[in-house]
Amino acid sequence: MNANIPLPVEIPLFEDLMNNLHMLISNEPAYAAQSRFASPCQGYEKDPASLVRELITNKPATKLFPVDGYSMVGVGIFHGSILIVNAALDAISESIVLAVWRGKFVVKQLVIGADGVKHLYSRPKNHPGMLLPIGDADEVQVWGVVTHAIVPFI
Amino acid sequence: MQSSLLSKQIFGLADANSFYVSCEYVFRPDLWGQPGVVLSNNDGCGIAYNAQAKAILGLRMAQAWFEVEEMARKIGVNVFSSNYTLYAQMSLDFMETLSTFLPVEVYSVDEAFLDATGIIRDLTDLGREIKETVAKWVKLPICVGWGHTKTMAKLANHIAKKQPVFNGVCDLTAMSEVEVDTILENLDVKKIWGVGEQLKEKLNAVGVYNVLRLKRADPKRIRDKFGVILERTVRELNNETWLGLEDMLPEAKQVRSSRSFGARVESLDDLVEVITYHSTMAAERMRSKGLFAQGVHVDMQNSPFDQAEYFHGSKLVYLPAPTNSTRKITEAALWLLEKAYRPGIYYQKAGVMLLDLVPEAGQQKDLLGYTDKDETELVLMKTMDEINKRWGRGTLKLGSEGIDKSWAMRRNYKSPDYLSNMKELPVAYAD
Repeated sequence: MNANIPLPVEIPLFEDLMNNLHMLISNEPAYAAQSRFASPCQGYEKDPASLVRELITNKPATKLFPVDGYSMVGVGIFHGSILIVNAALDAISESIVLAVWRGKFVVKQLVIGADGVKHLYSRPKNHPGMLLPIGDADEVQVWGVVTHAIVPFI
Repeated sequence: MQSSLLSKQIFGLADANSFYVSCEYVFRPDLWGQPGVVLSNNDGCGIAYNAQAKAILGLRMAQAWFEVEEMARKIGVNVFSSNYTLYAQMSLDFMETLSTFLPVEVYSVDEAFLDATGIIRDLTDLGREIKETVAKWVKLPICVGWGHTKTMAKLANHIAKKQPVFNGVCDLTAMSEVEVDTILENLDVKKIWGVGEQLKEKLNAVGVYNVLRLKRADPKRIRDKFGVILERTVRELNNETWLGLEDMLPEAKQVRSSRSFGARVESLDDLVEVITYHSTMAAERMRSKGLFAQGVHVDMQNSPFDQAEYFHGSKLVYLPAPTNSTRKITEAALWLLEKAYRPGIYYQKAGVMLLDLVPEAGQQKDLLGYTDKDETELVLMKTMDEINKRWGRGTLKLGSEGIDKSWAMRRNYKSPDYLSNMKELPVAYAD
């Protein structure tokens, strides 16, 4: 192509420019506003699938906690995973829970014995599980139930 | 009898205990049970104390923070700068939890009225369930009071909070009149919604010391002597409902954004940033209420406690037509700033107020047919608000606001934004 021939430049009308500006800064997709024909899809639109809607069913009771440590790798919770914790749910035996233990937040598995006593277990890799020591001065408090862990791969 | 009971209105008031400190403690289990205090903007003085801190600091709570700090730290009082981002989110979660039970009217950041009219259930029981649910979901301690009027619900909440026998829930509607009166007789009139120190003294002067005395006063004489508001209170103490849900003081006719600086500010350039910031904040707040400003007011002052002579400059301008545009409001505010600015003064505080707010519908054209219902501007503002809401305040702002904000608040002890910043979430340990 001959570089000396300048390409034609289209100069938009001011009015078109303003219309396009509106579309650029509004949320409406530009094509919808421009289309001349009624879309055959009209009436079938739905909201796109939403992870937030799926994973957070009780907004005021749900909080996010990133994980520090490797003691829960056995159940798929890794260092750097983000926990979705729903405090409205009642923990049952074998629930993965966010608990308060010795003044800090810990993620553990709750095991309720036949006697009704609650224990917290770590679940590291290739290991049947380790009981978190509970002394007389320690108060275990279940803060919420871990419903999901989001594991980043990048 | 039955039908009149059923038709009687019932209000609840749910109120979080030491809200700011409670918010801070939710994510600091290591501090639970310890005294805690939250400081005002600029860490000037304590604005919220939990029960343990109140017990220790007592009368010293009124002092400036720098006077109390050393002693408080020695005793082990935990100190926080105010983290309004956190409190705002906690407040939303609290209100949303309440709304799963009953219709809610948010009264302030940490309290809400509930409408329990027609609820056929033991209200002490319901109050306890609400209290336990908020504690479980949002981890905030609250108290609930029930009454036939808002004034009585407020009093019931106060009683629930102060008298341990009630265990955080007080239902005045379930008590006999004699029982209620016994409680009212032991309450200082100052505890009534809307009775401040001044009014209290005036009431004391005519022999009204306790709430029961006011309840038994003649409403008409109260109106003649103290005005219609207190008359309404007297009627509400007698269970005549005067204020419904959402029946509140008239809507704000003005919006103000102002703050003390972390450091003294002298140059016009710095003030331009400050004023731009405040006009942006005020305009955003105004838009969230769907209102338009007709007037813009700017003021600035040095500290009355500085050595230099006290200076307070303020200027006001009325706009050609109501606007809600950050750009236009800032333009006006900066123009006012240049007029009000005096060099050589070390300013301590500045702010922007938007006046005579009108709803969109009430807009009038000026003589030239100019209104500010400029569509592109409206869309631009809406987009700006959405971006800032999504990506955090200040993501999109006017250039004159500046970048580094050397004048910004002193917040030496601010906690992380646990709920609104992915990089500051509380950590769960797996060790």
